[in-house]
Parts: sequence; structure tokens; C-alpha cells
Amino acid sequence: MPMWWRGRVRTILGTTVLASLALWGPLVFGQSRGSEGAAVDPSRLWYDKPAGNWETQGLPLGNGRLGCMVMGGVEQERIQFNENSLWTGAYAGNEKSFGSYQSFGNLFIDLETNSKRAIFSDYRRELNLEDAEFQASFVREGVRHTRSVFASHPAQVLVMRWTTDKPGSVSGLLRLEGTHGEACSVKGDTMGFRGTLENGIEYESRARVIVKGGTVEAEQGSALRLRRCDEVLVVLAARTSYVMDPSRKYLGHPPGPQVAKDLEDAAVLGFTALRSRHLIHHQSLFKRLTLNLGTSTPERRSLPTDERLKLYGKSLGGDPGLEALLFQYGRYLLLGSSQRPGLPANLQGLWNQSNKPAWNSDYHTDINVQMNYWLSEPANLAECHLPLFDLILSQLDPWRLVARSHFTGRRAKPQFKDRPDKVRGWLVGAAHNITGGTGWLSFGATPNAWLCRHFWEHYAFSGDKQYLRQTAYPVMKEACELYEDQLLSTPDGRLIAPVGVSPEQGPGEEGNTYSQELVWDLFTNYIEAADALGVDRVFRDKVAGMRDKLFLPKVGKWGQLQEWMHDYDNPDNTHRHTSQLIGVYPGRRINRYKTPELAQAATVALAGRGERGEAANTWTWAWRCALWARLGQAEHAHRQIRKMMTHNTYTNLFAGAGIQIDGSLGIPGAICEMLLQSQEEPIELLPAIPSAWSEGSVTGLRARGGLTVSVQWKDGKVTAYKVSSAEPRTVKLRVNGETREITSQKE
Amino acid sequence: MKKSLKNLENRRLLARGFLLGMTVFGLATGNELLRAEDHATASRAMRLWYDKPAEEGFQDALLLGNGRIGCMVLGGVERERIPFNENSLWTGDERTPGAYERFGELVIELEQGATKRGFSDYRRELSMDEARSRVTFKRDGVTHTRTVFVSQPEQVLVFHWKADRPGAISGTLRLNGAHGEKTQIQGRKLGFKGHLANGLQYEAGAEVTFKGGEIGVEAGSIRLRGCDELVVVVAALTNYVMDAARGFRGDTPSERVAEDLQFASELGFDLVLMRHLAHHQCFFRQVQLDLGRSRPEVLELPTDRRLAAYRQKPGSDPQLEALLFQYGRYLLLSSSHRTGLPEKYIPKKTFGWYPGAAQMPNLPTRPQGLWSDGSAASGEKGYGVDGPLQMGNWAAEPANVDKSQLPLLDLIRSQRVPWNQAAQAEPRFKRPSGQVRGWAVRTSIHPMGVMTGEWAPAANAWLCRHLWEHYAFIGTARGKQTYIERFAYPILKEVCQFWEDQLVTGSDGRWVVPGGTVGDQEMVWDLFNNYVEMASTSVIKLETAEVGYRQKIAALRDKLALPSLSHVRNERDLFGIYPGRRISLEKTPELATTAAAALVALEAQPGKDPFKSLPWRCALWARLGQARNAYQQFSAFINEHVRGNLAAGQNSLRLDGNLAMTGAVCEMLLQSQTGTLELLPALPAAWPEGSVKGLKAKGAFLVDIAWKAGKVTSFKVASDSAEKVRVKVNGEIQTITAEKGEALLEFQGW
Repeated sequence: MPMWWRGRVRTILGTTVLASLALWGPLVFGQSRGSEGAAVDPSRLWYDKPAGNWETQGLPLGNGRLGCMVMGGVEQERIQFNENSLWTGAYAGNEKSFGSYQSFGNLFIDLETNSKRAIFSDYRRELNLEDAEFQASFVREGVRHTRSVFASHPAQVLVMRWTTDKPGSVSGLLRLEGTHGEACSVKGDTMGFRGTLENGIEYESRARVIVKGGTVEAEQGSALRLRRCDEVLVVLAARTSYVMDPSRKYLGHPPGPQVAKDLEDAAVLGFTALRSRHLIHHQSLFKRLTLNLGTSTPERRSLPTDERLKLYGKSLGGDPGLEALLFQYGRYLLLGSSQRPGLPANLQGLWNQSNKPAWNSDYHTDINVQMNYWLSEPANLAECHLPLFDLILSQLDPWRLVARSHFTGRRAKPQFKDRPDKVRGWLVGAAHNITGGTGWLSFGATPNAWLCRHFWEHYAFSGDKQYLRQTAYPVMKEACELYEDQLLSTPDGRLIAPVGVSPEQGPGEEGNTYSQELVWDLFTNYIEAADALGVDRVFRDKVAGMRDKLFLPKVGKWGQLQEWMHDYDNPDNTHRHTSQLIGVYPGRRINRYKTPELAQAATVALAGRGERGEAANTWTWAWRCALWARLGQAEHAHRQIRKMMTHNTYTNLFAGAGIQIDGSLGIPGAICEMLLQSQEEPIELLPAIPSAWSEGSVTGLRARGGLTVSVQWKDGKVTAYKVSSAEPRTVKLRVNGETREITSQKE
Repeated sequence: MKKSLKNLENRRLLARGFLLGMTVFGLATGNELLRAEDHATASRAMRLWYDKPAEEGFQDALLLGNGRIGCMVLGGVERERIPFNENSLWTGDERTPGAYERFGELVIELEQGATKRGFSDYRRELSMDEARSRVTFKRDGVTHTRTVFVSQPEQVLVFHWKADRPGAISGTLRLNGAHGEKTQIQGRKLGFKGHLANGLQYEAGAEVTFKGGEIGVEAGSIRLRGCDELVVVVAALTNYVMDAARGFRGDTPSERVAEDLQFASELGFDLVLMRHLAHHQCFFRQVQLDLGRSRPEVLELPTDRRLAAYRQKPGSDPQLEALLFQYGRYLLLSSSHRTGLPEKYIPKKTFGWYPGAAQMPNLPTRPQGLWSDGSAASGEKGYGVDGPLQMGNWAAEPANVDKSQLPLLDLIRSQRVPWNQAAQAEPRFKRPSGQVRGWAVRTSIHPMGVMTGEWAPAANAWLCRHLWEHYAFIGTARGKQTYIERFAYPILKEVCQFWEDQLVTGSDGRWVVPGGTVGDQEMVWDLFNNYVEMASTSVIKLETAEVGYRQKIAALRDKLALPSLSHVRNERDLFGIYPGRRISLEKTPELATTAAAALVALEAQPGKDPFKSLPWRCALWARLGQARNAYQQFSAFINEHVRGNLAAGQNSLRLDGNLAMTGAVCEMLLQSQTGTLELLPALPAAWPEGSVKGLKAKGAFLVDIAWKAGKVTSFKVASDSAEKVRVKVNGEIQTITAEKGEALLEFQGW
């Protein structure tokens, strides 16, 4: 037992707790596989057969910009890859013209053997989340083949290595194919293709093959033939000419030279160096947080992931290890789909094999893109949040024009009629792309406030004032200016947001709870930001005045928090969105300690939505899980996880009815809310710990105010905890129902 | 084999504090869930209570239901029997008439304690506001509380038993089928299933969760030992579906019984209760009625004795009168409601027109509601369509429980085809043109297509009035267009076609119903008039052929022989006053005067069926503006025809009387049949001061009225959109703009 832990607890808790500490016994975190051995599940998905279906069985890899889905086929391996800036669609288009996210291409690896009969044995396919590495291995004609794939962030390439246990037995054909009918050319050990989309975006991909032993040569001018190699390394690069710069209409230099350089650099490094750099980068982020929700039975742990998931559904849960895996998988997927210099995670993260994907695989701003980032801060992946800010900042110019046309149109206030120059602020519709295009503006104005909340949260968690001053504050202020100009007034003088719709249902009416809560949230965050920076006193006070005059939701006739200004709510409504509860989560206006009546009304509204019918939907579970957690209802929160895993999770653990990455990324965010809540002081440890996680520990959670928190528990009670920050400071905590003040440890 | 189970998990969970007072998996007191204090006050007022068990039998039991499953609570101490019903358990088929069957009962026996058969502090109550019964008593120094409710959202019956001393609950628990089925018990689950002679499959399942103590299986029952608290969830279902094309049979009920139980137990008692309250209160609380304060001493009385006091001094207890009004709404909500279910169970074609809620068609309410009171009448054959079925839905629209009318409409739609076939086969309907268009009914109809009794040709027009009423009251709701186009209009039209073929020319050259009465003539006029009005709406666009047909029916209507009403044989002959709208004080004053005289004459003869005639006369007098006469009917109804549990009935339940009376009271407070909203058109002197909130008027207006000394002092008219509307207030007609209202919204999610 390491002494560091006991020592720290002593200083944190002070003498009063010392007596009971002895009773608590040794305080050890099951931090890694090492310390508690088999007790903790390795973060690994594995299967005993190849993937048949790309969407439900393929395994994803990504470096935040470039990613792929690997099928693990024997006779033919397919690695379908994406680069997250490959978008069709016109510059600054609308919902009809803003295009869609495209599949980049496929790398096919055909295995050549003597026998035509596809017989293999000892198959295993796995995705190791800690190493961010895929591996498929099987025995074919007495030879064990192993193929591993990873997406390197430092090298910005995909890497595939194929080895066998018998020299000279790697033979086959490698083909690289685009998805837009490009011709693939081969030159030496490299093949590649390129093209230009209608909107002017140029793209190029090349793969270079490096063999040990044997030969590699061009076949039919478009593929590479491997003959009797000992080992094969394939490095694949793909880029587009897209840049996040509206002044250039998002078009940059042709990608060819950079693609060539990617390959050259990678080839120089070689496999070992590529892999160790990849591991260092990935693990520095991934291993910041460990989660142990309890030990699953050896029977469960011995099962392949697909069978384990099936059993989980049949036996109503009973597998905390699998739930912890789902949590870490969400973190893994965010790392894979959202890292600089890439774009943020879209509706499918960055994994898409179709050129006509569902909902264009775009960015939906009425829940989905936000949900993608619920985990980023609390689950200690703040860096992954940055691509979202990069993209938003790069879209502000066209979005300002959207505001101008919108607020000078049919429903303009008199002072703005035909005066676009007077309109301040920016506006984005319910969906957008990466080249200034946005659509469905009639769905409501307030997505801008919701996006601002993310700028705010990044500061709230980090406490980074320089970031706040330079990046977040100007964006938030500008959004406030829009509302200063555009808020409407009710006859009794309450302020309401313009263009109101409660997402994806109901009447288009102003004053709905969703819009009002978001404007309240924006104003509140702005006020705190201005206070933190000590700037813009006059405007800050004006915003505070407006906030006090905002119309806020009432409690309706069946005790529910109303979704609309009028008491329309129908308890038969099982709609997937829980927009009226946005002030509970992700917002923070409604709180079970400070506003218990509103929290109760929110509970009734949430209960009313039920869990059958349309309520049973992928990302819906994640939102409801977070809401129940904020309302302190551990069992109800946990049931959402269970139902999501039972009804809406594919065998590759993607949340799905079609890939809906927001479900996969939202659920870890929600689980964070069950373990730790910091939206209000005091910070609460284990605010909603369910009986299914009777014993466990978490290290490396983040709390607002630049804090890192580790907690260990038993029977739902905190048995040990540790709070640290860059500089020691006083922190108010709620632990096992008691409030106490502690001083955080220096990190 | 004796098997005992310890539910350690529940115990552990309960040991933990939950901030909102909610716990998991079934067990909590539930009290913490009652929300604001005003709600508690509202509940107190909306309560029937008694100081003894319902010893006289089922007819005095507390009635609970979710529109599909119903149960009765007698409140026994040593032995509590909770008989339950499911409204599709009918014998008979497409050829043979059948009867409504009892389903089963949950029996709870309390183990003999130190005191034999002794108990004190007994109280049995029904909170209409919570749609929940509560029985409390003290035995061996321990206070026991048993509550029951039937959840609409979860489609299960829930029984909860708690004692104020840990470990005090010991006894046995049984689930018995009504047809001698063998109950299977496995762990904490009980169930039985079977099928009737007509092949209808049925199944009930129950799941027990408990805190403290232990349970075991013993001789066909579950044995409870030393439990602190107990919850039993019961699901019951048949494979009946309202679809003639499928022979009225759907999937085997097993899967869904298991699923309903699982969903309910997953949510846990607290959430199930919370959702039940939300669902019920959303509808029940739409109308509040205050008819004045009662003397404080009567308020303290148990309901049965309070009723006796009322009888000694009629008019002394206006709060009891308001309670009776609300009881009608409560009964309709409990006995008639579509069922919200997972989409996979809902036939696609029912989905379109009534969006927002995923709801399955259901059967309407009977004179015994959806309960069986043990009387010969409770297994009565079919639904009476020459009155009882329609009158049971009089209150639905004006008393703002409109969703409860949908089952009646579902029933009509589901039987169109068999009814048409029956009419085809009837020689009297044969016409030279060949095929019989539309359909007709006999006096008694059944859920599986067959009909019994005499032909009651004009009853088809009376049934169609309800399709029209729903249309007239749903206003601008988004579902209106689809409702008309896909549901109401085609049915109204085909019944018009029926009458177009059947009418004959009378002696004066006008059209008459062959062999018809005055009432029949009025009903057909009403049908034609409603059809013409519906076909004239701008909500739907009619093709040229349809416009031509509308004009044809309008002409036919105008050439119908119209009765003079100088002599009427029964209330039915006054159909044109209520529920029809041909005759009104404003538009046809002479006819109204004649009708009033006829009604006086009619009252001289005792009504054959007071449960039918009293509410109808009350409504007629209200329409004729005679408040005193209307009130007399109402008061007589309470005085002579309701039982201690406020249910109408003598030897058997006649809840259609309660439901119709609530509809009639609405007519005293608000009328809108002429298009003008008339406030307090027949306010009796017995209610000099009061208020009503949330009554509904034609055009989907929600109306609040407050009055003093018989005069309106303030009112509010609200609607979905700010429409102009004519309102008659204290004798003056004014045109006002309705405020933006807060009706339940029906809309389709994207």
C-alpha cells in the first residue's frame, strides 16, 4: 500500500476524520491492471470473428483528423478511412446546399494463399483502448497472421502492420480506392489518388508499403502485389485543401506535398518509433482518468464483447466492468474524432462510409454537437474541446451575415428593418457544416447561446484567464449583444428570445423553456466571465438587468416544469428531447439544493417523458442519465445506462440506430455527473452512485475551478478522496451528505 | 417446495438517504411525492371516505381504473380482496353474442395477530385527485396503510402496503383467476392464463417487491413474514384487438404482460406513482368547480353519512354536489381511455390522426364502467346503443375529459364493416339499388362485431353525433384535419348515405324515417345537419363531387319532416333540444316553449329508468333555461339514486347515470351549441355564489366563470389562437377576443 495516499488523506480530512480512517483500512486505488490484477477489466473490446457490418461491428480508430474503421477480415481486410474536412456543399449554403461529410476511401488487403477454401482458426479481433490499437490475428494454413492498425496523432498517418509467425508467408494484393471514382496510380512502393470536389476542395491520399523480405510490385497499374514477405508495413496519409479560414472561403493549398511529407516522415521513423510515439501521445491523454465501477464475474469477463453485451441485456445488467468500458470507450472515441489540428466530432464522430450519410453527418446544434463534448472537460480531455472552438471561430464571419439577413427580414424589429449594418452578433441554425453553411434557422435562435456555454465551460474547468480573455469572452459578449438587440418583450415586460422552438417538436412559439434557459445561461456565464476579468462593467450590469427580466418557466398543472410558456404539456408525450430540462443539465439554473421546487418540477417532467416509445432512443438515454444524476437519482440514472446498452448499443459499443456518436460521447459525460458534480459549490462527490456500483474508484476526474478529483467508495459511501489543483486553494466539498472545507493539494 | 427469498438489495438501497425522498425498486412511502401544499388541499376536497370496510359488497367498493384495467377496493382488514377487470375480456364472437367477464382478484390476508379480528382507527378513502385508494387501520398497536392505484402510463395495477412498525406485515398473498385457472408462482412472480370458448387468450401476472422480512411460496400463495413494506404490481391483458380484419385477435398476451411488469418494476414504485399522478392530474385537474361552501359539520362526516345528511336537508351541501360532478369526470377518466403503449403494439393506421401520444384504440365505458359489480347486470350483453353508451360520453367534451371519448369513437370505427354486413343481410334495409350503403345497429352491440336486440336504426345517427362532437370541440388542434379526413368524415358520410337510401316520403311530401319515432326523426336531422356543417369546414378541401353531395344532404335535411313536439313519449323525443341542437330558446323560441310544456307533461309520468331520465331531463331543462327544474332533477338524482360510494345504481351499478349527470351539470353552467358561449344559462338559486374553471365549449374554448348572487362577476375565455367569439353574459351578448389558452397540445414530433 503506497504511503502517499494515506498521508494525503490525513492532510485533507484533518484530525476529526483520522479516527475513522483507521477503520477504513488500506486506501488503494485500483488504478491500473497492475495493482489489482484481474479485478479490473482491461479497456479492450474483443471478438472471435471478423466484422460483417461496418456500422455495428467495425472497430474505429482515429487521431482527431484522420480515422478509419477496420473490419478484421481474413481473406480480405477492409480499412475504410475518413478525413474530417472532406465535405461537399457550397460556401455559406443553407440546409439544402450545405452538402455532407464524405467517405475518403478504402484500403483493401487481399490475402493470397494456396488453398481457395477460406478456412481459418484461432481468430481474435480486438481494440485496445489504452493503446488505441486494433489487432486481428488468426491461423490460416498453419501460419499465424497478425495485423495491427493505429491512427497516429504525432505522425498524422494511419499505420498497418502485417506479420506472421513464419517468414515469407505474407502474400496478397493491396488496393487503395477513393469513393468518388478517382483513378488510383502506383509508383514504386506507393499508390495514391486525388480529386477535387465541386466546391473546390482538393483531396489526396497515398499509401506507402514497406516490406521485409519478399517483394512488392505494381499490378495492373493500380494495386500493389505482395509476394512472400516476412512482414509488411503500410502507412497511409490523407488530406484535403480545407482551411479554417473564411477569408479564403475555406480553401487552402493543394494537399499533395503535405501528404508526400507525411509518408516520408513516417517511413523514416519506421514502425517501432511510430508506435512508441503514438502510445506516448495517446496514453498521456487517455490514462489521465481511470474508472473502476466494480468487479464483474470471471464468466462475464471471459466473454467476447458482443456476447457479453448480449448477456448484459438479457440479465438486466450485472456487469459493471462493461459499463466502465463503455465510459472509457466514449473517451477513446472523442480522442479519435476531436483533436487539433482536426475538426470537431460531427454526428458520426469522423467515421462515415457513405457519401449520403444520415443528416449529412453534419453538426447539429440543438443537442448533438453539444452532447459530443459533455465529457471533454469532466473526463479530463479538455484538449479535445479545442477543435470545437476552432471551428466556431472560423464560422463567425458567415454566421454574422446569417444574423444580418435573419434580423432584417420579415420579422425584423423596426430599427433593423433594411439596416443590416446595425445588426450585431452571430447566429447559427439547428445544423451547420464546415464552410459557413447553416440551416433550419426557423428552429430557433438560441444554439449560439448553447455553443457559448462550451466556451464558458472550458474556462470554468481550467480557470485559464488568458483563454477566457482572448478566446471565450469576445464570442460570448458578441452573442449577448445580439440578444440585447433582439430580445422581445411580453405585455408584462418580461424578455423572451426571438424565434422560439422547443427542439424538434411543438408549436413555433417564443418563450419556450429551452430558449429562455439558454439565454439565461449565456447571460449568467457572461456576467461571471466579465467579473472574472474585471471588464465591461456597464455592459455587464446591463446584461444582469436583462437576465432579471427574462421570462422563466413556470410549474404547470400536473406539477411539471413547463416546456412552453403556456401549459401545453401532455404526459403522453414521449418525445426524445428533454429540452425543457436544459436548466438542470447541461445548464445550472435548477439545482436540488438551491431551487428544490424547480428540481421537483423537473423531476415530474422527466418522469412524464417515460422510457418507452420514442423516449427509447440512443442519445436520449445519455441526456436523461445526466438529468437524473443532477436530480440526485442514482438508480434512475443508472437505468438509463443499462437501457442504452440493452436497446441502443451495437456490438462494437457504438450507440446506434445508425451511428449516433452523441450517444457514445454523451454517456460518459452523464456518468461523470453521477460521480462528481461541480456546477455549484460545494462540489459533490458521488452525487448519484447506484447500488450496481457498490464499490469502486475513479482517479483524474476534473471539477470546475481547475481541480482534479479522485474518489474511492464502498457501499455508496466515499471512503477516500483526493482533490488537487495547480495551486493549493480552499475548496468546499459535499461528502457523504456533509459539507466541509478543505485545501486542495498542489499537483 | 418451500422457498424463501431475501431481498437484500432492496433493503440496502432503502437504507440510503435520497434527497428527493425517492427510493428505488418499488419501495417508498410515497407521501414525499405529493407536491405542493395546494395539491394536498385539492386532494382533500376531492375525496370519498368511510369509516368501515365496504361490507355491503362490490357495489359499495371504491372504483379505480385506467381505462383498460379496473379494480374495486373493499377495504377488508383480515382479508382484502381486490377484484380486477380488463375491458376486453368478453365471451362471444362474430356470430354469437357474448358477455363481459370477470378477470381475477388479488387476495391479501393478514396473519392472525395477538388480537383476534380486532382493529380500530379504520379509514377507507378514494382520492379522486390522485386516483388512488387508501385504507388505514390499527391492529395490535400497528397502523397499516394499503393503497391501490391503476397506472395509465404503465398499464398496471399497483398495490402498496406499509406498516408503521418494521416487520409487522405477515400474511399471504394470492392471485386468483375468475375461471378456475391454476396460478403459477415462481419466486416473486405470480401469474395465470387461459382462453375463453371464443378463443380469446388472456393472461395476468403479478410481481411482488418487499422491504424487510422474507417471502416464500406456500400452497399456491406467497407467504409474507415480518415485512416492513410491500408492493404488488399486476398486469392483465387479452389478445383482443379492435380490428375486424384480424378477426379481433392480436398477439398472445404473454410477452406484453411480462414486459409491462418489467417496465413497471424497473421504474420503481416512486416513479410509477409519480407518472400515474402526472397523467391523471393533467386531465383531472383541468376542471375545478366550486358551488359554494357546505356547513362545516357535514364536511367532517364520512361520505355515506354525509349523503344521508344531504337527503335530510337537500341543498345543504353544495360541496357534495360539486364532488358528484367531479366523480362523473373521475369515473369517465377511469373507465374510458386509450392506452399508451410501445409503438410496436399500435396498429399503424390508428397512428396518424391523433399524434403526439402513441395510443392504442380501446373499448368504451359500460353502465358498470369497466368493473363487474357481481350483479347479474354486470355481465350484461353488449353495449346499449340506444342511450347508455352515448349518455356515458355526454360529459367528455364539455367537462374537458375529451380523450375519454376516443374509445367510443374507436369502437364505432372498428365495427363499421361487420355492421355494414349485418345491414346488408337485413331484408328491411334492402333497396332496389342493391347494396346497402353505410350501416345500422341493433339495440345492443358487442366488441366482436355481433349485435343483439331489435334494430335501432336511428341509433347510428346518434352514435355519429359523438364523432361530430369531438370534431366540434377540438378546435384548431393540429390533429383536426387528419381526424376529419381519415376518421370522422367518411363515417358520417356513409351513415348519411344509409339514410338517403332509407328515408321514405310521408303524407305531406316530406321525408320520414320508416316507422320512426319523433326522436328518430330528430336524430336523422341532427346527422344531416352535422354532416353538412363538417363538410363546410375550411379545415378540409372537398372535391366537386363531395360538394355536390353536401348540397344534396342539405336539401334532404331541409325536406325532413320536423316534429311539432306537442306530444312526446319520452326524453328521446326531445333529442332536438339535448343532446341535439335543432331547437333553442334563441332560434326557435316557439318550438322551445312547446317542448317545455311537453316536458312538464312528461315529468308527470314517472320515468321508467331514472338513471337515464333524470340526467336527460336535467340537461333538457338546462337547455330550456329552467334552472330550478334542472336543479330538481340533479338533486333528486343525489337524493334517490346514488349509493354511499356516490355511484348511481340500485341493484347494480349504473355509472352511465353519473356520467350523464356530469354532462347535464355542464349544460347548467355553460352552453355553446348555438355558437354563442352562454355563461350560466341555467344557474339554480341553490348555487348563488361559485366558480368554475376549465369547462370546454364548442370551438375548443376553455371557459372560466366566477359568479355571485347568480350573476357572472368575471370570466375568461381562452383558445389555442386568439379568436373572436360571441359570449352571452348576464343576458347580454358581447363579442370578445379569446385569450391564448393552455389546452393540451396534440402534435406530431418531427
